[in-house]
Amino acid sequence: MAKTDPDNDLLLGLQNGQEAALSSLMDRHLKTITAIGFYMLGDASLAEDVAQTTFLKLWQTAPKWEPGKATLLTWMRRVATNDCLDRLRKKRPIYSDNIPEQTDTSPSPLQSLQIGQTEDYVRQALAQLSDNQRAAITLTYYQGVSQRDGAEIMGQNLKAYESLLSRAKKNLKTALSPLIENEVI
Amino acid sequence: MTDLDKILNTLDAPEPSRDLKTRILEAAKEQSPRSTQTVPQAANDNNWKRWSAMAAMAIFAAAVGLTFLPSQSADMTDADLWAEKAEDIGYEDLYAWVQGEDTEVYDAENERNESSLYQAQMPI
Repeated sequence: MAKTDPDNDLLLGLQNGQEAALSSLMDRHLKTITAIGFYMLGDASLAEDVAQTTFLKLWQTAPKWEPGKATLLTWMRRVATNDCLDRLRKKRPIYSDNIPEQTDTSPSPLQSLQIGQTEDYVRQALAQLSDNQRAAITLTYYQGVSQRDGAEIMGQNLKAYESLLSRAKKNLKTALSPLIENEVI
Repeated sequence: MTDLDKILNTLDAPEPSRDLKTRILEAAKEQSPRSTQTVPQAANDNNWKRWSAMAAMAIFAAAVGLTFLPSQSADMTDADLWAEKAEDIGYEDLYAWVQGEDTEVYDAENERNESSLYQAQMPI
């Protein structure tokens, strides 16, 4: 069954090379695509590079787009996710792999929260995940993508994606257990 | 919402910088979209790999067929030509023997000739 693409109204303009259509598409999805890069790579500047690559790729390939298959947003999410995975494979480490040691002088998770560093703690917990697990968490938690679409974006079957997501959640819970146990949220 | 959800929600992605959109539009000006004539494959079509593999197999099978079928008919033509040429110059029996046809006839005639030769050589 053909999918209805909410961005269909821009498709003709994109296929005709109209920059106004590309501009409108960025108004809708630039933040979403940039966020994938941010959660996957942990770096705002690299995330913008990912977004630029993704939108330019769409711009280039729009003329051969066929309505009724993957939606524009799903396709862009796939391109952005694959770009992030490629970057992670080529250049390591982008994230710091080490969670800061909790010495007497460093703040505990609770104290970190009090001084506004919970975000860093979550970032570091994400860094402990494998690249694919981080991608699954990014898509399902931060992008609100269904598991079926997440599987499609990552080129996996649904069972494999569910399993990947389950392992990612388990690892995240372990990494974030100090915050969860102290009920800091 | 679970505890995990709540904690994950504390990490917000920053807004894209103001010049990102301008940067992308400027880059887009330099990269005109590809023509559909040069790139016929749909960008969002995941089935093209399967179809292209099937097409490749069909092309391979056709190539194999075209390689072997004409060579067989060419052989037959050559054989007919050689047989005709042998008949023209009176060596049709030798040609038939070489080709393995009518060997019984040839052998019978040969035996008779040898027999008469033997008889001719025998002192009476």
